[in-house]
Order: sequence, then C-alpha cells, then structure tokens
Amino acid sequence: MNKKLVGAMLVPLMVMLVAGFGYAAYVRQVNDYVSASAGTFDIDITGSPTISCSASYMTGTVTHPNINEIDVTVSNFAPGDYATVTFDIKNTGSLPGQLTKQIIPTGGLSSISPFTYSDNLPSSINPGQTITVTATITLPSGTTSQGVTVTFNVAIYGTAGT
Amino acid sequence: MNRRLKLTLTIPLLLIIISGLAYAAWTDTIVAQYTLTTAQAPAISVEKGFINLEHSLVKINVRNNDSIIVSTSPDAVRVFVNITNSGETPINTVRMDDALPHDWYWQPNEVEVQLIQQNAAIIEIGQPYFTASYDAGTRTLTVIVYNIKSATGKYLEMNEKIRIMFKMEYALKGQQLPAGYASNPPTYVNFSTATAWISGWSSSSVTASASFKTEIN
Repeated sequence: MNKKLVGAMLVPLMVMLVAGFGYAAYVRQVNDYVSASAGTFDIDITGSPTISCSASYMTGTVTHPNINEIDVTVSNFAPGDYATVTFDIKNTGSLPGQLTKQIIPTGGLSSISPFTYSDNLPSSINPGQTITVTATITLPSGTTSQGVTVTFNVAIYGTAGT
Repeated sequence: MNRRLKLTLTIPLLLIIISGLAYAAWTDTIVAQYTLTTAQAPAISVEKGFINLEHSLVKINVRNNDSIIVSTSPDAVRVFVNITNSGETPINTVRMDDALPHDWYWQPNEVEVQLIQQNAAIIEIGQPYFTASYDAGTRTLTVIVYNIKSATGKYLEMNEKIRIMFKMEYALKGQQLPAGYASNPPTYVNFSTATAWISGWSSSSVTASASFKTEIN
C-alpha cells in the first residue's frame, strides 16, 4: 500500500519538477528571443545622462557605456557641495515591473561616507514608460575628510510584476 | 503514516514548483557607478612689503629747538599684503590680521583690495565685499573678504592672489622724539597673518613680516 502511495506521489512530483524547469527554460528562451508574444520585462538607460555640480570649481562627468550602465565621476567636493545626476530609465518590455535599489560600496569600502546619496526612483514602471531619475550626491557641511576618494555602485533592480 | 508521507512529499513538491515559477520571473538590473573625490584644504602663501619706501627707510623729521616730531617722509607708509592661493583648491574667503608696529596706527578707511589673476589682470574688490576693522589696543587691522566669488564672479584659483593695501601713519607726530631714538633710530617690524577658506575648510594660518628702518632728520 505504501509503495503504491509513494509511486503515486513520486510520479506527479517528477512530472511537476520537469514541468517547472521546462516552463522556466521556456519563458527564459521566449523572453530572450520572442519577447513580444510571451511578455517581457526589460529596463534600459535611454537618452543622454547629464550632471550638474553646485560649485564651479567642481568637475563632473557622466558616461553611458551601455544600456544598463552609467559611470559618474565628480571631484573637488567641499563641505556643502553637491552634484546632481539625471538619467532616463525606460521599460522596453511588455510587462510592468517593480523597482528597488541597493547602494553597494566598492573598492573595499564598507560605506559611502562621508558622502550621502538620494534619488527619486519610483517603486514601479509600466511597459513603455520612461522615468527620469534624479540622483543627488552631497558632501555634508562639517565634513572634515579632505582628499578622499569614495567609489560605489547604485544597483537598480527591476522585477516583472505589480 | 500516510498523512506523514503525503506531507513529506507535498512540501518539497510545492517548494520545487514555487522556485521554478520564481526562476521564471524576469528581472533586469541597471548600475550607476560613482567615483567621488573630496577637495584638499586650501593652501596659501603670504608676502608683504611697503609700496612707497625707498631702501625700506622712513625719515622722521624733528624740529631742532624742541625735538618735536613734525612729519615723516613719506607722510604715510603704504603697506601691501599678497595672499596667494598655492594649492589646487579654489578659495572663496580670506582673512588678514595685520599687527602694526608700535608707534604706528592705521589710517582709517585707507584699504584697497584686489584680485590679481595669473595674467596680472586686476579685479578691484570694493565694499561691501570686504570689511576692515581696527583694534587700537593691539594695533591690529583685520580685513576679511567673505565671498570672493560674489565680489569678482570667480573663486581665487591656484597662483592667483588677493592683494590688500593700506596706509599707516606715525603715531608720534606732534610729540617729542623719545629718548634714545636720536642715537638709535628704531627699526619697525610689521606682521601679517592670513587664513583662507572654501566652504567650511580653512587653510593653515600663514604669517609674513616686513621691516623698515628710520632716520632722524
């Protein structure tokens, strides 16, 4: 009796397992190659990102090496100075998605101190929608760290769904 | 027994289905890479001297019959102080404290402030962009240019200088020549200390001095 029961449970289990992975592979493949018909989620940086600095002695550049990346370099921050970076994100897929972000210090740093970062990233994006993100990096007044270089990434994650 | 077996098989089954579906959900990522550098503290050098003195000499003219000091040549000593931005960080505020020599005092309202660019072009800085105050007790003249950018349209860049000029007069005019001055005319030393700022950061205070001799006539 138990053997029969085990068999009866194992067979559907295996079928669902295979179906689950098969479905995943199918969707992935379809997303990659036949996006319109299967429903896709894809966010890209579009247009030309810009940067402005609060003081004329600061120098700031922003480049856009590929559709998923911008590189921002700003130097000569003094206390109270800030730089504003503006870029567009477009949902080129057919599905709405949720947006989240994570600030990741790089170069062995554990934080982005003494800088602060803020932006207006919305929590969702609709198919075909373009959102303009304005990110502000500030060196707060009272900062004493002179001649310091800080590197970090801001990763914006998009996930299909509402 | 059967229930337990069912549960044992159903839970992994559900986990597999859920993870399979989750895997199927599509995600995408955008990355903004930031490289940010703070400025260095401002750095300055200071030099000073006397504009209208030949051979760094002031003549003290004394009346023969009663040794009263009647005048000096020149009548007033014109002092200059150059505060040069010697670092890469621009400067927006400078302060100069000038300790006048004993026997001398500041000639009120005689202060001129200029920004001298690397090509020697001069931008005059007028009031209210600087303040001048004098403490007669310590004979200290303080001149502050609070906002060079507002005053000139630009920060004080590397190798550019703020030049401050003022006049000082001999305080002993009309008085009898002090004992010993005739045989040993004094040499006067004048000190200037300057500090510069950009936002909240300041340079070290830097001091310069200049001296001049006197001759009794």
